Amino acid sequence: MRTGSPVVVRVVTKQLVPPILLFALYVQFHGDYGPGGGFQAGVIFAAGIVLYAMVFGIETAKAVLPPSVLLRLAPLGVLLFSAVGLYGLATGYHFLDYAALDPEDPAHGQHLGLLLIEFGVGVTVAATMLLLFYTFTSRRPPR
Amino acid sequence: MSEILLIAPVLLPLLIAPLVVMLGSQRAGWLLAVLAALVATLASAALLPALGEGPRSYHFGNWPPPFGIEYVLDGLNTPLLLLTNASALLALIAATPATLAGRFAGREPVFYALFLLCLSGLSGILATGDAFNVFVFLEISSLCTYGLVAAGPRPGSALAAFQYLILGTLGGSFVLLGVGFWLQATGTLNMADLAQRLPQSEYGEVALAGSVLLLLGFALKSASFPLQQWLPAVYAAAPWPVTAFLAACATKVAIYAMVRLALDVAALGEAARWLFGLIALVGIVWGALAACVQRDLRRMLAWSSVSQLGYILFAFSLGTAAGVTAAMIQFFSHGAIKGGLFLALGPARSFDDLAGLREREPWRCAMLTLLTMGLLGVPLTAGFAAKWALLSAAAQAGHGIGLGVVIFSSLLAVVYCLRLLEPVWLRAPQRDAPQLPRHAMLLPPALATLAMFALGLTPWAASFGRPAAQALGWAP
Repeated sequence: MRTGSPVVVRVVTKQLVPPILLFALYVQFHGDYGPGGGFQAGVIFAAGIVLYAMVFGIETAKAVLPPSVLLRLAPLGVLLFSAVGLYGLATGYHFLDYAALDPEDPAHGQHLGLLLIEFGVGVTVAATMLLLFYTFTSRRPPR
Repeated sequence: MSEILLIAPVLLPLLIAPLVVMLGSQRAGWLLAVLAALVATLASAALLPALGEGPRSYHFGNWPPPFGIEYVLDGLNTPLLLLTNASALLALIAATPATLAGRFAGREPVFYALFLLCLSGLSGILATGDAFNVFVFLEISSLCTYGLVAAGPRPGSALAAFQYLILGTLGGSFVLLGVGFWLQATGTLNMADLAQRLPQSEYGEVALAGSVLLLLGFALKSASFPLQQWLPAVYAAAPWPVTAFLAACATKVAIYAMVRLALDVAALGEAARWLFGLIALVGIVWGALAACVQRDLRRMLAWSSVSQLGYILFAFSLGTAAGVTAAMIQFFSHGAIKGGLFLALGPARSFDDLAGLREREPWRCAMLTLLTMGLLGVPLTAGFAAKWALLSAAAQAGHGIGLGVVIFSSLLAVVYCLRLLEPVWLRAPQRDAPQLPRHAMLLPPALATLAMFALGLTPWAASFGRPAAQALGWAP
């Protein structure tokens, strides 16, 4: 823990980080209906962790989200996105045709598909943002 | 099934790339990458037989164009898809973990993922029928190229990658602006739709400005004269399998985008073809002259690429079916020859590294010699077929200046090709070149050499001329 952060900053940060992460999830999952989506949510989520790292130290943040985990999470989001696309292909629809997810009610399928791929985007963006942050702060490739 | 083939060459590398990072093993990553490139190559080869049946389209998410994104594969881009995937396959076979030897300290999977994403981006530029998609794929391939170049073994590799990043981002911004202007002028992003609406747009100046910006962006990415300065630095700095891949197809994809957007979609016609002819002819001479005076082996070959890419642009600038045929032959011929040369040179970076190759590695020496003869345009090789087609197309079109320039640059090619062969054949070995696994060293350049002779002896590449000219509307 960095001793330099004054107690006020630490207490306020502790209060702030959970709402930031919660807001990220709101932007993520309400993105279908309002402004938002995976990219914005991922950036907000990463910003919450970055704030935590700035006040409590990089090493503490790395204990929460180690770079090795992030290096797996980043491709996982892409794979989730592609899996939705491939599911359509496998069931005889076109690539990324969300109607395949619920043939009975294609509109519901579109909702579900959008929710899933945006979650994939969110995971990848958050992981990549944090990897960039770790890389710049350590000046060495994270491992 | 055949529908899946239309998207497989782009999707497969894109989907395998995250898998390679997830697995995290360098050997498995290499195998997966080679497999992905192999299947993508086979898929694009399987598209060729139906080339004469006209363009085929795939609608993503089943959204009909112009609202959704479609891929359109026609006579012009399908053969180039095969060229791109095949050169990636050869380069990846050469890029074994042993070849990369310690450059990445355990992060080789990321290298393979970048390579696959770069391949997917280039294939995407070729396959897509959506102008904004072209920008997205351009950025995907460019960002990955910066990473791949920075992975090079020279101390200056990171700097070269950074300089390329600055220029490449400029080029990408021009492309984005151009697409934005087109959208503003027509309200659509679909290429077929744009082709109809651009001439009727009430904002003709906006549309023209968009076309100029797009041309500027892709002229930079294709290293067309006078925007070629980044190319030698990048070829010299990148790891050698990456240089071979980039030399074989990356700039050609940008030339395709230029031709497609300016001559097909925007239908700029005479004016754009005049401009293409001008920058191509100056580039042909400039590149050949610069190649003659380079001290660095790879920079010499890079400048020769500037000259050879000029042939392609010049062939398109003729605006005839014969010109398109010459361009298609030159696409494949230069891809096989220059890609093969960089693969055969391997880690050799200076002329001294080649000294005494005749005794040290006779097979490598033989392939280098044959490929250099192809670059020269010796009969029986693809280089000859390409130059012959280009000269006859220029003669048919009555383009006397072009004829003279191509012949003059061929004479200059003799100078720089002999500079390459002199240390190989005449100098005594000076020091030990770095050792490499034999299969990685010999198989890919051998395949490229075979391809060069196959292209020279058969009319295979010329058979794409007619479908490609039809795609541009220059042949019935």
